[in-house]
Amino acid sequence: MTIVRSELLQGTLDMLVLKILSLEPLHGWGVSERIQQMSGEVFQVNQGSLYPALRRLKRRGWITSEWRVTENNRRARYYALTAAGRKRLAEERQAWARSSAAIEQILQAAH
Amino acid sequence: MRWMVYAVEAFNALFRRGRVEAELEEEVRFHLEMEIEKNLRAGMTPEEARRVALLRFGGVEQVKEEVREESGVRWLEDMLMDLRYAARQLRRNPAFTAVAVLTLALGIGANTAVFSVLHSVILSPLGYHEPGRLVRIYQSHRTYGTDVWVSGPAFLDYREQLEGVESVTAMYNYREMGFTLTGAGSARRVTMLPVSSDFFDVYRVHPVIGRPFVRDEERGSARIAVLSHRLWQAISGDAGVLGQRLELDGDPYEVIGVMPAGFVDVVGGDVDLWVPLELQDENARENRGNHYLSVVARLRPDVTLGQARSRLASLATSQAELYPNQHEDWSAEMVPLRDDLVGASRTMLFVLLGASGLVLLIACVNVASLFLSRNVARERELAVRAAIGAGRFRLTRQLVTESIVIALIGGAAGLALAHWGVGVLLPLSSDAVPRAREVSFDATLFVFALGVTLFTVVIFGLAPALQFVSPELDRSLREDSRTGTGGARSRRVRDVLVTSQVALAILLLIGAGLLMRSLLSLQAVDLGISPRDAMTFQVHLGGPRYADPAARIAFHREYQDRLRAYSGVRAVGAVSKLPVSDQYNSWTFTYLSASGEVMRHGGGADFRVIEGDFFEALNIELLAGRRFGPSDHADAPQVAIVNQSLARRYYEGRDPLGQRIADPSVWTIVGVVADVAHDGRGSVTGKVYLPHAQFGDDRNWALTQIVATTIPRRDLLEIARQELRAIDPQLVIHNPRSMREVTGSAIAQERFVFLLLAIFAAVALSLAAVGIYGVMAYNVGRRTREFGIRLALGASPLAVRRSVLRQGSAIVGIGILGGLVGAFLLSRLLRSMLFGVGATDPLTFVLVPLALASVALLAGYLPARRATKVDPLRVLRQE
Repeated sequence: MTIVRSELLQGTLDMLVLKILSLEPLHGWGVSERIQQMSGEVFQVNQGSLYPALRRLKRRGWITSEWRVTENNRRARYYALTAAGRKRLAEERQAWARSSAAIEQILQAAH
Repeated sequence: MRWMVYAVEAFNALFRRGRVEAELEEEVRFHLEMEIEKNLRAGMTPEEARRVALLRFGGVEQVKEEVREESGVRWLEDMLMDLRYAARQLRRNPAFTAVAVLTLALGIGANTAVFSVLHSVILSPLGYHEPGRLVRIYQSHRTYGTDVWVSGPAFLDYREQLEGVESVTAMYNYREMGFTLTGAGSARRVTMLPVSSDFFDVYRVHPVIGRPFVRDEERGSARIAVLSHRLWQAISGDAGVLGQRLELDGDPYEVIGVMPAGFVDVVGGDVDLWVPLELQDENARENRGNHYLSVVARLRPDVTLGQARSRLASLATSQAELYPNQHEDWSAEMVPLRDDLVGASRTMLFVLLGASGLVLLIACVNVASLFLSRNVARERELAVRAAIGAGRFRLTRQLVTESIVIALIGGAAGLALAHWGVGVLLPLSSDAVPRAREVSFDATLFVFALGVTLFTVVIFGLAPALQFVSPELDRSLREDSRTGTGGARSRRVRDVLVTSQVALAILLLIGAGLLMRSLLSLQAVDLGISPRDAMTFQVHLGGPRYADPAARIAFHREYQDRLRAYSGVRAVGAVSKLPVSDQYNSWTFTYLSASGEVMRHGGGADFRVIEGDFFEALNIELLAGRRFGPSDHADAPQVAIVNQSLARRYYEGRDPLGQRIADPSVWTIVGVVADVAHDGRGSVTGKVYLPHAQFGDDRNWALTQIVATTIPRRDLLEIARQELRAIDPQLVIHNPRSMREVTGSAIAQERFVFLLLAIFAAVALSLAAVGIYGVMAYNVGRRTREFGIRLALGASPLAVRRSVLRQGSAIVGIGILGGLVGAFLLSRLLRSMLFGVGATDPLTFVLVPLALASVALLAGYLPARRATKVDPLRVLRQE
């Protein structure tokens, strides 16, 4: 059987990254792995597209970055959520809940 | 907080580029290594693990580029890169850069310089409170002329009866204003202006310390003065100045106030102190024939100029009814003060601005053409860059950046040039431009120069750059550099540019030509005097020693006798106002017959007080009767000499000798002399000459001495000073000018305009010549192979040359035609500045195109000659 893989919904990548970083600081590869695992392998991020998103979130002050040493003793850039990022995540979740509820309602009515 | 993050990011992106790049590199490498390890763990071979990892990541370079885009300062980075690249390009072609910058600097500089004058003189308001409400009032006469100054009683009528004005003031700057100030340190020469007490209300400027005058003090005997800030600073600068006594030409004055710093009296000029105007005496109260006051009024805020004018007109009508003898044929006019000051120079300055605008256009065209030919040379480079992925927008932006860099350097150089140019030109223009003193460099000019610079970018930068939005790039790659033609399109654009350049140059040349013809006719005007060998200067007789008119008369007699004694001195005379330096002392006389019967009331004429051999010194011919002589002394019957115009107008058909003139004292006409002009255009009005010996008690006349001599200027002035010292060591010589300088300053404005326009036209002509040369040389270069083949096939050099010139003459010919049509339409704007030549003067319209055509032929001939020097063998072997 093949897993049906979906493109990430436009604009949701930022929210997912924020969510994942809210759990613990991670490096870029870790974030991409985590998205894939947590979505039950449904979403396959084009891993490269993660990095512009990370740069964008950093520029907006929602995440910070620092170089750390991994458990395997390698240097990697770790990203962490800031207070502003936490607030942003809450806002995005609310907006997401509202719009998905609305979409669900429309789909229900269509039956 | 957020902006700080942003700023740090931007800073890193711009200035710590190396580190940012290295970190990005490391991050991506780490990601790929982790992915590969994961794939290896999943059992892939190393090659496969690597391939899949790269596949899942997407294009590495593409991702990096996307990350860079996210830095938020990409546009800035690009701009800096463009700037660096542009700077490198421009440094690599120093000749190109220098020519382009210099050309633009000329255009921008000329415009900024002219604009700086226009700005200060015409656009900037006068420096007073609500200056728009200030108006100048003149009287005017039906036949005698407009813009006549106001008599004392007429001014008092305005002050008491004119509705719609808040206040109205009179200034007596119709007199010798220079005085010697003593009693405060060393003696100094100062300018004094008597004004009515309303002066301070009209300008809404009051003394910073002390008080202004009041109406009760409007009498000559008041002996009080308000100082200018400058004079106050020069004397003491402290408040103790109030109540201090100063002596002006020996008369004591008490200081009652000091005006604020920066107050400029636009009518009076550089005034050092203001004193009350005498308004109590008979001359001010009764004499309606003596027009000696400058009148300025402030309109009420609720009154328009039109309403004020009609009220002034009705007041003038009632004056004429009340005083038919003095006011018949007289009316009054009101002019906004600024218009009055700027006057005729408005047209001049706008014409100059237009002319400098044309120069700028020509400069832009030249630079555009330079850029075009350089872009053609770079076409292959650009095509290569486009082929390896540079966007068209990006390329265009790069080209425009280069233009902007050139324009900014050119603009800066132009601003410097303008600053220097204004410094050089203003001293030349003092007689030609009003308010010239106020010309200054300020932020407005900087903004103007910047605006002009950006305008030039649009004109010269965009056109060549846009050409590359749709070049046939693949073609330029295929073409080899020798056969490349640069595209028919670019050639057409260049031809059009040169054509328009020629047309613009024609416009300027025609303008300059018309003004030159006008200046030549002005210089040929018969002014009625022959100034070749006459020197003039003034001696002021101030102080108690010369309070008695007899002392002044005696001084002039003795001084002139002493000068006359030198060999080489032909004649010595003096006059109250030199010819060709404007109307002055305009008076209304009553003309009587010999028997005393009134022939004409209130006819205007200028009168002049003369001493010694005035007519002989300037070679003014005596037409009838006699000149004044020693017998016309103070106690003898009063006599006058009139000019031909006056005799003709008021004594038509009669012998003027023996007739009489009254003002109301009565003079008998004893002589008639030829007319002399009062301005550079040869204008003539009636004149009455009165002997100083009989009229010297009227006031302390500031006579100008005229010495007709062959002695060189320097020696003559030395003699004049020496003889002056011998009579009175305290007297000094003022304002020495040759008669030639006097007549020259009468046409100063015309000469100034011509000078500037000639400079502009010369610049335009050389730029156009360079443009023609450039386009011809380019065309010849492009056709080198063709000429080589034609020559090899037996074409004569003459035929080749002709073919080149034919192509050039089409370009120039169309330009000339276009320019002539434009000049025909535009030259009427010059009409008010022209004298003795029509705005469509056929000679100018024929000679100018001929001159330009010859320059064009010359500029085209050199490339044409080169075309025939092509060695067919070499050209063909190059294939």
